[in-house]
Amino acid sequence: MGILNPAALPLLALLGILILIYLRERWRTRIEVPSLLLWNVVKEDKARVRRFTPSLLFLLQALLLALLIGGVLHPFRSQIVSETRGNRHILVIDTSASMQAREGRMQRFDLARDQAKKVVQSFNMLDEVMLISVSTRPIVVSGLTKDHLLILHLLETLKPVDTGTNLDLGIELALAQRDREGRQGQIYVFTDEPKNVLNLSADKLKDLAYYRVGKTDDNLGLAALHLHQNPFQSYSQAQAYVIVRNYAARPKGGTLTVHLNEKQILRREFTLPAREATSFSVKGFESPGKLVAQIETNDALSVDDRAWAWLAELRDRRLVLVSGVKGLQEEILRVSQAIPGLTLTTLTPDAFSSAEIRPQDVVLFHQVVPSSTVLANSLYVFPQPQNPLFPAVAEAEDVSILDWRQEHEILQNLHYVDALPLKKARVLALPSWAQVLISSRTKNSEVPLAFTGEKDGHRVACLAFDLGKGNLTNSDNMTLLLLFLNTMRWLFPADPATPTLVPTGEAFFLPPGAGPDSLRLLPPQGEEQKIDTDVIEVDHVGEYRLSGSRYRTTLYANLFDEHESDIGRRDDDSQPVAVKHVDAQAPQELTKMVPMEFGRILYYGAAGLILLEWLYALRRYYRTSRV
Amino acid sequence: MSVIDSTFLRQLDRLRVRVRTARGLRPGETQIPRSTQAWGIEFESYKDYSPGDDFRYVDWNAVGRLNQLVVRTFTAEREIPYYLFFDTSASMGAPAIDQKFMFASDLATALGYVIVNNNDPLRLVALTAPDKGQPPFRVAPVLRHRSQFSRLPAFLATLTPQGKTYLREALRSYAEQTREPGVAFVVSDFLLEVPVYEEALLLLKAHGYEVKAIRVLGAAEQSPEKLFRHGKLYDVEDGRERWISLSKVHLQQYHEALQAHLTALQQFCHRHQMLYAQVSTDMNLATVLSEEFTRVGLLAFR
Repeated sequence: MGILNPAALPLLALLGILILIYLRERWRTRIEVPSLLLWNVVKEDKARVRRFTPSLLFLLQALLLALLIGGVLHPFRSQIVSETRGNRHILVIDTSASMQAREGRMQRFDLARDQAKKVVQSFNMLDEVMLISVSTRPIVVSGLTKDHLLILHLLETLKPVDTGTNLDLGIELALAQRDREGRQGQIYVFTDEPKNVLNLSADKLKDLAYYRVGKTDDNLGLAALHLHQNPFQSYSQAQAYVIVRNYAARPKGGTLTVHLNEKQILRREFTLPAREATSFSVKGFESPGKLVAQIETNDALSVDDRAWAWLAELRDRRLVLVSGVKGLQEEILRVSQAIPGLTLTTLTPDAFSSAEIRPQDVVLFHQVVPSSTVLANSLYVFPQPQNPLFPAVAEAEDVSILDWRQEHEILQNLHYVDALPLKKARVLALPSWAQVLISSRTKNSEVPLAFTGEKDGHRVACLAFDLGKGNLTNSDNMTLLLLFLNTMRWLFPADPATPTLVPTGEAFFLPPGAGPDSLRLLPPQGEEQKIDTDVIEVDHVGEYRLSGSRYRTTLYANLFDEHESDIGRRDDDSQPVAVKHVDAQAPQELTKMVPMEFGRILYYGAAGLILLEWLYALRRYYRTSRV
Repeated sequence: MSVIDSTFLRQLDRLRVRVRTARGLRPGETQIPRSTQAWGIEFESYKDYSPGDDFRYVDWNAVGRLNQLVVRTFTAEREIPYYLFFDTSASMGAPAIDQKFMFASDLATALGYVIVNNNDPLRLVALTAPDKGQPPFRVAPVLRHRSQFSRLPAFLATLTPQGKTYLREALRSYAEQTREPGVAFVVSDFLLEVPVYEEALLLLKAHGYEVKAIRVLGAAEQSPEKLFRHGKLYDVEDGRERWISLSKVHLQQYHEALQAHLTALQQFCHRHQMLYAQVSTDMNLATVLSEEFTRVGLLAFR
């Protein structure tokens, strides 16, 4: 017995109030008698009369009040409930790319699925089963259910994908699901991964029923397709490297073909020693377009035999320099001449007009900020103190760089950021749309030295320090030159027609405004489908085509995953891993204490009591009336 | 709510008041046994003729046998003056649950009907508290015929139980100003000290009234445990209070006191040849009249 709402206990004081009301009523009430003549013989007993003695009406009212308060207290009594519950089973099945490896006539996945089916069929009818598939992320295919036919059907519909695996996460998920509600269960893992590569504690591993499939290591795969072409290079200057690796424990040969826009530009036969790799270089491309590398060989895993890349056409890009400093104009000219495809247009601040700027241009404002909106990506260097975008708060000299965002595209691969020459800088007010890229600190606050952001749909970068005379082309300040070139590369808008390379297993996020409403996706396998989210899960190698009224792009998905391609999966342990087989268990007879709340019964009792009192009062009324 | 209706009154047509000694001066319809008159209907006796007697009543057969002039005399028929003294003190209204006053009113109405049904004069005297030099009673117009009966309940309806009981003072005051005594019904709860009501009733008797005391008792008075267990009792007449816890012993004491009070009145009436009847509010009024009152000799069937 107990109560669930002890906060209502103070309501019991109402019983005391009821007693006080009765006492007051007794002390106040006079009983009219025709004469005290006959009562003079009876001894007066004031103390006894004043003492509280419960009447039937009081007891009824107190009972009614107690019932109501009891209902508010939510009383419960513990009841021992016994129920027959089946065991809980969670199946974790690996759907990564390596599960597509052929073992004789069947795929590894088929073997794993057959084993899983046998396991499910051995379960007791009352057993609950959960199915989790794991590739780069675990997916709960079915929650706990007693419908074993449904599980068998879902197993049948599962297919392996072309991604890596994160089996640890899947098992962790299964463990968490198993231990819910304090119930125990059995986890079955079906994979080609050796147990000892799992990064799980021994306690967790020992409870797993581990079914490992696959033995063959017969695989020859593309380990990489590197295409070296920066935004300022033409396709003819680009160079591609194809790395082929033999994952088998014996020599294996094949034929590598490279196609550019469906036209074969390379065919090379090769033989690789056991577990060796080789690379092939391809250059001198005659046209831009789709580059496909493929090896023709007879191996167990075909998903890593093809790779896609895109050879971009060099676009004419224009840098508009708005500066009144001649020395800087000359330096930027020298830098731009060294960059293929880049045209420099130099304007003085007075001659600058927004109308002359094209959306694909990049404008560099040196010590000047225009009053009108610039409809192009722009770089502001050492803006003048009074400007509408980022007004200067103070001047600073010999500033030290204390922090920077290494993960930003501008600073990636840029070492020694703190070696930038900063003789003179301005402390600028950071706009709300901007994020700090490089910063220093004063005693009180952070001082942004460079920041980036997006304003009116265009990228904006700002350097709060001056480039300085000769710094940009001085070999002592390579960091500054690289920062400048990286900033240019970040600012030049990407060609929307250029396909995006995405590793399988990752997600592609649609850019803002693309909107999934009208977009349709044509995946490498399957039919065209409508998209209803902003994220596209790239699970298969090949070409994904996205088309819509406002947005159109192509994704090239490649699988370069050494772990997945190395299908041999040798155990590192000298000791063989013991596979735990679990026999079908009988349903459990469980008893547990369950709190059974009976507050509602008290309410019903109170209602019944009111009804009884009312009927009694009615009866008395009629009797009195009759008299 | 009054139980008097035409059906009830029809039942009362069978009843009459038994009178022992009281008689009025005026001729009426009540035959007075052993009392003669020179004319009438019911033959009573003979007497020697004396000059002035009506020749029509000479019994010539007796003259023939006795050779002596005798005349027939008849049973005297007189009207009986009735006085219904009705207690309207506050004690008649308490406890309210008993509805003692209403019961007494109905009883007085029924008695009044029986009386006027016999074409005897009835005077209802409400015994009230004295007020500003007024006598401690109110007298209803005299009723002489059943056709005037409707005035009686109308008068009773104007009465309310209030004030202290002035039984002695009221009866003395009224008796002293009345010349023609008759039958006096005293309807009261008699919750007074014994000497007080004894003096009052003796005073009536001394003035020549044939006294008939009717004591009205409330049901809750007889069983006070139905009224309360513990409480502050309040005397409705003098306003005194008394805290009583009604234990078994106390209840026994009360019953003994009540019984003693009842017995005292009964024995007093018996001693002084007054008729006494005790009625309770939980009794049926028709039963009271036709059984209880006839049993004690207050009423008789025609």
